Amino acid sequence: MTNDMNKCDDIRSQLFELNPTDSLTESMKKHLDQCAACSSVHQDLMAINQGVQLMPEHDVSDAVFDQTLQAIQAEKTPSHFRPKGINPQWASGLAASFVLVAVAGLIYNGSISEFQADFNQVPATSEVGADTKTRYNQTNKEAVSVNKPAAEEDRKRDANKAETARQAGGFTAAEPEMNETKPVSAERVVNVPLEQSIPAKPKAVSAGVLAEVLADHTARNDGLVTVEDRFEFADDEQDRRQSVGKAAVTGSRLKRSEPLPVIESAHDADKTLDQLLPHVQQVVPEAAVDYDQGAVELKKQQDPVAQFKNAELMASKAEKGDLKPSAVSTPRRGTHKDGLLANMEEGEAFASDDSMAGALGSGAPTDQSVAMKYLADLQNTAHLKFKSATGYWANSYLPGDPNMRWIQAQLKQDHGLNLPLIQQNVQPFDYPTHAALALYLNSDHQSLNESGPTRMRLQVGVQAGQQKGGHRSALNLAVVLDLGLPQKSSMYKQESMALLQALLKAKQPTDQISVYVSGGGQLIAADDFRHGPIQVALDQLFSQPQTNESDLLQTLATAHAWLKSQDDPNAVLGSSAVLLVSANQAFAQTTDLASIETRVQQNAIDGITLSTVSLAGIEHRLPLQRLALLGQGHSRVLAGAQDAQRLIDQELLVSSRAVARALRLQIKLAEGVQLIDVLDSYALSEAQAQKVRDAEQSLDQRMAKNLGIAADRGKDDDGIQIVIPSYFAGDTHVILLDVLVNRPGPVAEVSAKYKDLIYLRNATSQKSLHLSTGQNQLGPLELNVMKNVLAQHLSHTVKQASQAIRRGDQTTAVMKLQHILELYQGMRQHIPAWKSDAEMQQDESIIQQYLHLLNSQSSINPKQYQLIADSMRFMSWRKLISHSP
Amino acid sequence: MPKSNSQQKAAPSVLDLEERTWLGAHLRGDQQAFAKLMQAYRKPVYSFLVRNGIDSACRDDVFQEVFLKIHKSAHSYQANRPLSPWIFTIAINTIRNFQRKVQPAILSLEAAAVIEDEAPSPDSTAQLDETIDWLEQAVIQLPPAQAEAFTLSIIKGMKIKQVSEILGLPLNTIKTQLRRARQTLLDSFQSNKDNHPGVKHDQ
Repeated sequence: MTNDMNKCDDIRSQLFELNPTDSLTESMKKHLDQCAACSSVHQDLMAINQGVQLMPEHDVSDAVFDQTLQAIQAEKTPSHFRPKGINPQWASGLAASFVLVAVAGLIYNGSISEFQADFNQVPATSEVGADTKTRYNQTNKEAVSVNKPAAEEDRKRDANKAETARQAGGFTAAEPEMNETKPVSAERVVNVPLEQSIPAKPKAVSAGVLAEVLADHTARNDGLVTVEDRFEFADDEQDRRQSVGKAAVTGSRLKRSEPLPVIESAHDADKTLDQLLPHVQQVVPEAAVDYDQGAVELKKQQDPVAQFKNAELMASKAEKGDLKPSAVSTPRRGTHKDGLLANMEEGEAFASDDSMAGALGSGAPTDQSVAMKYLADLQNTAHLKFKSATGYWANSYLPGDPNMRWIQAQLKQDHGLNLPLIQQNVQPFDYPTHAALALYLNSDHQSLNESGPTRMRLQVGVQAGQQKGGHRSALNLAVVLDLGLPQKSSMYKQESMALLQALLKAKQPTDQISVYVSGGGQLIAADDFRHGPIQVALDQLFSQPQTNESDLLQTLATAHAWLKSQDDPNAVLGSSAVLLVSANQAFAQTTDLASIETRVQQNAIDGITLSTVSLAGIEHRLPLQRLALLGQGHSRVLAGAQDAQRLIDQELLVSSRAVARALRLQIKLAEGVQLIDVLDSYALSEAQAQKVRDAEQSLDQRMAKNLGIAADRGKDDDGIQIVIPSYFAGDTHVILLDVLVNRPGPVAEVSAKYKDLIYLRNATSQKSLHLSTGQNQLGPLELNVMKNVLAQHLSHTVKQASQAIRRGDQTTAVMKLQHILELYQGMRQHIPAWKSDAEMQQDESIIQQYLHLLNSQSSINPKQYQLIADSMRFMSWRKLISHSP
Repeated sequence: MPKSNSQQKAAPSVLDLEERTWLGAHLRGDQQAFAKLMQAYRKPVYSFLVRNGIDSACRDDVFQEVFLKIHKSAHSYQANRPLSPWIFTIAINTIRNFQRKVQPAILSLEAAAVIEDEAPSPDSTAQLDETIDWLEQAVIQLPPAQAEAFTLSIIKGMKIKQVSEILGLPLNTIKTQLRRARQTLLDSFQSNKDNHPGVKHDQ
């Protein structure tokens, strides 16, 4: 009996191993004839095999197929594809052979010592044998460095390249990157790579993040004064600042003097208007990249070093007679007198090529007088007024502006206008490697005037890493269900359940979530926000007979009251929020909608934001969208229960982009350096500064409580202090200071103190800048600073033009745009490295489009003028902010 | 083009050799080449997604993702090797990534108790009056590892060695998964037969 069982097991095992096409062995056949059980198994397996053979293939729909194919064919050839070239191993071997031969030759000639010289002695001019006192004299040091050996190696390597180039009659140490093929970085130019003051720690995995709306809101409502006059388009700068200061102190930022327009498109997708305005990208194809995805590509394409290299190459070709003189534009470094003004005197030599102006549509030679005057103003040292370089100054890094989001939503609609798009200049900053933020300090001068003071712009750059923080502060959330009358179906029950389950999954221990139902008061208390009570409450809710009761106003009031009772006075503003989930298809007909809007707006000012989720589909979204705008939140549509997790993730996890909180920038000017202004900022009054301190300390304490980052704030520092509440992954921001430097030596020292959400620690980064006298030259970084100053000028001019249009003064708007266009064209002709600068060409093209729109007055109606003004206002904001609104 | 197991041959067929050139041509800018590839593999890949349990709501997205990955990885394909295993390697990796992302949340017992079982009820199963229909459901319900091995080996007719390479698992593991898959299907088949004796299965 046992033998028979073993035999059966053995045969069945063999049957399971058989492939459908395999035939049975004799012993198997024999056993199957004798054993009914095994025969049955065989029959069943045969049936399964036959079934498998007959299983039909499934096919994708033609629409999806075509869509996929088109998407792929629309893309370029995969970038990884490279034609086969020389084998890398062969190339390495070949290079090593060359090096060996070269070294052997040098040893044989006894000249190896030349390569062991102090690289600091590399002369700064391109002329061999030039006075070494004029060498590159800008240094930029980290106060604390843990990677010093690596930094030294980098420095020596760069200097070595420069020395080699110098000996070959090539470039100088002042522009060592010109011989490099990789994108320029601020670190490499100053020969001191970024060094972190704190050793790296493994990334802490912690649940939790902050809703973007909350973080954005916090960023603006932590009591920190902003420089944006969001809804007040004051005519002059003084009025603007006064209104901003007042708004910041009183918190009444939502002063709205005009009715909200109807918005018909989604506004919560944080994308730029690229999709809407593809034609802009056609103007400068190389710049037509998605801003977030293509930033690196753009950096490469717009690399100032590469542009300089092109200029050098052109010059070199011209010397050999390969190019006609008209095509040549070279910086002529050896003949520079003193910085830009010296360049100006030689302007005609550089302005010989008008082809670009022609390409941009002007056709006529550009009048450089505007550019000359602009440059002269930048250099002017007479009759200056100075400001105190101490105290708190307004923060100009303001991501997630709801006003701009609102304008963006308007602009996404098709108005039949050819509205252009603008983007922030790409900054040549390396991403940090062992910290959340990297700090940079540069100027538009490499050296100081030998006779008299030097006026210059200092640039403090902050570059966030691309890694996301993934942390958020504790959240008090009131979920308000507004189900309406006929909506109590099983579908809405499933969707509500899915949303609450998703919230439960994302809930952190310190979160408080309570659920209210319109017309029914509190449905689930915060302590009961668990699976069981949620299920029971929803079962009961949806099993009750339908009623006409739907008092959303009263429910919101109850929810707001609960949130206010829960809100810790020390908590960061914006940690309390309402999530209105509406399945009410008749929401737009709600009788007390105006009262609801007033309440929502008032609560948003008080720090309780409101976001909306529509269960009733996209067509019922508009009133909810309007409510979310007033509540400074997001408006979303749930596409079925399976979409709930995505929606909640977007709502709560998007702000995991925050990589640093409570960033305090301290800028100390050295003795002998006088502050003329901090561009796009202003000194805060004592009352405003107190709000900044309070908000910073609140953040400090909350971080200590929630994330265990020790509290370290409370004392003021010396110098200019700027506090940025939240800094987001991948963002870049520059702060520009206009200063007068009276003597060589130390110019400025900058430190950034922040709560690092990547490594969960207090972090500090420092930079300093020293300059000596000598011949000034425009390296890539100096040009970058100049370009940022120019971008600020553009932003302000476009904003002023926008204000003029709002006043109905199109003539002034056109004049201002014409002025900035001439300035751009003049600057591009005057500075060779900018001749084919893609960003500047794009800016010019955009100005020209606005001019074209404003000049075609007959075809523009008054409403469209407002759209143009909005568009210009948005562009003005977007030019200086890398974060989407 | 993937063949059923009955069509499998040792030497590459003309079609095999032709399809190996498609990605190279695509990289050189021949737009028709990728269209040919997609046409040839649209059904095999889509069926593969169905049988590996990709939900119908997400199937089109995953399908697109597979072919986008094929496009983006085209440079890494070596034309001296068959195309089909390479494509199914991408497909299986895409499926795994997708399944990781949509991993259902672990619910507490009290919640799980009140949530309905979404598996086909006996009544609905009884309505599957053909083995093929039953098989479609049964294969989808196989554990993922068994489904992958079974789909590639039995349904796509690939050799165990190829399946082993695609899934990155040892040969013996693949054999074990196949045996378990057959066992699972057999148990299910017999159970179904016992519970619904009136249902006729093709044999």
